[in-house]
Amino acid sequence: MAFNGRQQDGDVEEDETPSKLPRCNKEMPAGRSSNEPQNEAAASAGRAASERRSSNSTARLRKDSVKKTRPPFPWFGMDIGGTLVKLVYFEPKDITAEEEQEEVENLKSIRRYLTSNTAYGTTGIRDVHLELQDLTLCGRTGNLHFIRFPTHDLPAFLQMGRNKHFSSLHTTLCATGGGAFKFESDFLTMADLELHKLDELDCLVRGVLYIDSVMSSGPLECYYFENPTDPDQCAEKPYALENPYPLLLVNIGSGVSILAVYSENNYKRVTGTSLGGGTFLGLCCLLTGCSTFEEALEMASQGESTRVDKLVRDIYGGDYERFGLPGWAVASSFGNMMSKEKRESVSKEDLARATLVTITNNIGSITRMCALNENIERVVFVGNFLRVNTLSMKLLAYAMDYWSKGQLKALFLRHEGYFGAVGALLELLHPS
Amino acid sequence: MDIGGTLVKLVYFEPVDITAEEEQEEVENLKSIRRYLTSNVAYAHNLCKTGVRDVHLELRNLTMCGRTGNLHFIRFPTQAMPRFIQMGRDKNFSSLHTTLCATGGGAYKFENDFRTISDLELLKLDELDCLIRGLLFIDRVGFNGHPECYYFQNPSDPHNCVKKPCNLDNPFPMLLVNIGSGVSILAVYSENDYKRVTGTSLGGGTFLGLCCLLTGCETFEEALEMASKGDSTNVDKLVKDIYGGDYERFGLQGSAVASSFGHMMCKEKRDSISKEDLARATLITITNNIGSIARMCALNEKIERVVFVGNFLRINTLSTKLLAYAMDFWSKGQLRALFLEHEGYFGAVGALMELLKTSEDL
Repeated sequence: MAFNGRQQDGDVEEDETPSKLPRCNKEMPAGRSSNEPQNEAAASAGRAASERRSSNSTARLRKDSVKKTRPPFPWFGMDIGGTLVKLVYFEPKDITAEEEQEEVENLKSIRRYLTSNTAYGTTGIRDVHLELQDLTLCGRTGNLHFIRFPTHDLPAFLQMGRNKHFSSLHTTLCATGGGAFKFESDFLTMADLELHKLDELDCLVRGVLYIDSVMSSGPLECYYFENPTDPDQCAEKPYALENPYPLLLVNIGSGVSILAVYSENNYKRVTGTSLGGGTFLGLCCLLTGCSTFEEALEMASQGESTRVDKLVRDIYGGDYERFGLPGWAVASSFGNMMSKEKRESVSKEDLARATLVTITNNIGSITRMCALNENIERVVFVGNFLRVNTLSMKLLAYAMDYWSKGQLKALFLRHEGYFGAVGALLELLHPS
Repeated sequence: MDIGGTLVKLVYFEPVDITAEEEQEEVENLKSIRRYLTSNVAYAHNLCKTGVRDVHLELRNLTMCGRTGNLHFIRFPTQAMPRFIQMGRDKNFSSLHTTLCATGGGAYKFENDFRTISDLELLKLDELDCLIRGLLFIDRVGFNGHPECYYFQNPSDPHNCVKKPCNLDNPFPMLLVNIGSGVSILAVYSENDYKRVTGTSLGGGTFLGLCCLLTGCETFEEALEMASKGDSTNVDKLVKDIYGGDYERFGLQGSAVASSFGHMMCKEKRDSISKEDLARATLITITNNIGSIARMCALNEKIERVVFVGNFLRINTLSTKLLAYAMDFWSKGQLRALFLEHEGYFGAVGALMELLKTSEDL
C-alpha cells in the first residue's frame, strides 16, 4: 500500500487542532455521551474532543492507530443510488513541498480536475455551497467536496477512471448504495477498480452522525421550520442535535427507508415505502412532459393541488368533525381527476403540485405512524428528494407538527443526500 | 343510503310478504318506487345509464323488523346526485313521510338540497358507525346461505391460490380497512367500541384519477381492464434494478418495488411502455401502499385479522390477491387478509339498520 508521504511527526499537530476532529480511534466507544467521557481515549467528537487532546497518552494511541490505518490518497466515498451517484472527495490542503514532489501525476490531475471545476461533463455537479473547509480527517487537513451525477452516467465516470489510470493509485474505493453491488463487475472490467462494498444504511447513519458532530461551529447542519404554513412568518431555525438518540431517520431517495437509530451502532430499518423521489419525478414526467427534477419542482411551485385532489370538504361540504378531519385535508389524492371536466380544467402545474403533495404527505403519514410506534419524537429527513425542495420540507414540517398535535418535530440536514457517501469515506479512513 | 366521495350506495328492502289488504292500501308512489327499483337492473332514464343494481348481491328472504323480503343493492355516481334528488321530488317521495337514513360525507353535503328540492329530511349518520354495524349484520345473516367472508389460501402461490369462505366468528379485535375514494383504517374491539387508527388519501379515487390522466380511460372498469393486461415492472424501479439482485441485508427481494414509477424519469423507458403498463403500475402502487400502511397498523394495534372492504375492491381481483399476498408475505404469515362479498355496501346497510332501530324505539 503506497503511503501518502506524511510521516508520524506530522501527527503531533492533531493534538492542537480545533474541535472538528472526529472519532479517529476505532477502540473508542460509540455514542455521543458528551458530558462524561469514560476514559481519556473514550471521549466523543465535537466539543469534548478539544479538551481531551492535551493528554499525551491519547496522542500516542491515536498516532499509532492512524499510522497503521491511514490509507493513501485519493480519499473518496461513493454512494451509487437508484437515481444519483453521490461522491465525496477529500482535497488535502496541507501537502508539503516534499509530498507534492513525490505525488504521482494522475493523482495531481484528479485533484486539479475535481477542485477547479464545478460541473463535470454535461451532468456532473459539485455542490460548492456544501463544501466543508479546513476539515481535519485522520490527521490531514483539507476541504471536503460534494459531487453528484446521474447513475445513468456511471459508464462515462468509469471510462474517466480508466483514462486517468485511477487503478494504478492502488487505492481502495469505498462504495455504498445498490450500485456498489450492481456495478461491481463493471468497475473491475472497465476501470480495473476493486470496490469495497458497504451497506447503504450503515453508511447513512455513520455519515449523519459524523457531519452533525463536525458542524458544531459555523452554520449548524441541522435545522427545522418555525411556522411552516405561514409564508410571512415561516423561518428556518438551527437545531442542535446533541444527544440525538433515539432518532427516526427518514431517507427519501428514489425510494424511502425509515430507520430507528438508538446509538451509533444500534439502529434498525423500521420500514420503507416505494413511493419516493423516483415516484414524484416519474409521475411528473408522465403527467406534465417535464424531464428533470428541477423542472418538476418549478412547475409544482406554480400549481394548485386542490383542483386535482378531492378534499374532505368536497365530500362532506365542510369538516368531518367526528374524526378531526378538517375540510381542507385531502380525502382522495387526484380524486377529482376521474371527472372529464375537471381533467380539462387543471394545468400541468396543478398536476405537478398534486404529485408533490401526494408523495410528500404519504411519506409524512407513514413516518408519523413509525414515530408513534417506536416512541420517538424527533424525525430527521434526508435524501435528495429534499434537495432544493422547500415545498416538501415545509409540508413535512407542518404535517408532523399538525397531525401529532405538536408532539413530533421534523428536522432537516444541509447535506441532504450525501451522508451515505460520507459514511463510505469514513469507512475508508476508520474501518469498523 | 351512503353518499360517498365517488359513489352513492343504496340498499332497498323489498317486502315480499305484502298481504292483499296491505297492497290495496299502498299508496301509488310507493308501489311505483318498488316497481321501478326491482324491475330494473340499470337505471337509465334518471341516472343517465349510470345507476346499477348488483343483482348478484341480492339477499333473498331476509327477515328485518318482522317483515320478510329481499334486500337490493344499488349504486350510482355521486355526480348524479342532483338528478337523484330531482327524482325524489318527481316521485313525491316526501309524501311517504319516511325517514331517509343517510350516511357518508354526502349526507352532510347534500342535506340542504334534499330539504329544499325534494322536501326530504335526512337522518344523518356517521359513516364509520354504519360501516361496522352493516358489516356485522350481513356477516350474521350470511349471503343466501353462504358465508359473506372469504380469504385466499396460498396467496403467495399463483397456481395454488384459492378463494376460501370463512366466518367472522369472534370477529374482535379486527382491523377494518375501508378503501373508497380515500381510505380509513379502524381498529374494532366490539360492535360499539372502535377507533379510527388512521387513513390515507391514496385510495380508489387516486387509482382512478391517475389512470384517467395517464391512459385516457374514463371508467373504473376500463382502468381495471387495462391493468389486467399490463406489466408494472416496466414502469417501476425494482430492488434488482438498483442492486443487481436482492438487498439481502434487510430482506428485500430483487423483485420488490424500490421506487414506484421510478423508471419513468427516463425518456427511453417512457417511450417504451404501454398504457396498460401504466394502469397496472398505478394499481400496484396504490394497492401496495394501502397494504403497507395496513400492515403497520395491524402491528401497532396488535391485531392479526385485517378485513378489507370498499368499492375499490369491486371486481378487482388483482388488488384483492395482492393485498392477501402482501399481508401474508411481509408479516411472514402472521397477518391474514379477509374480504367480504358486499364490499362497499356496509355503510348503506348500517344506515338502513339505524332506520329500523329508530322505528323500533317508537
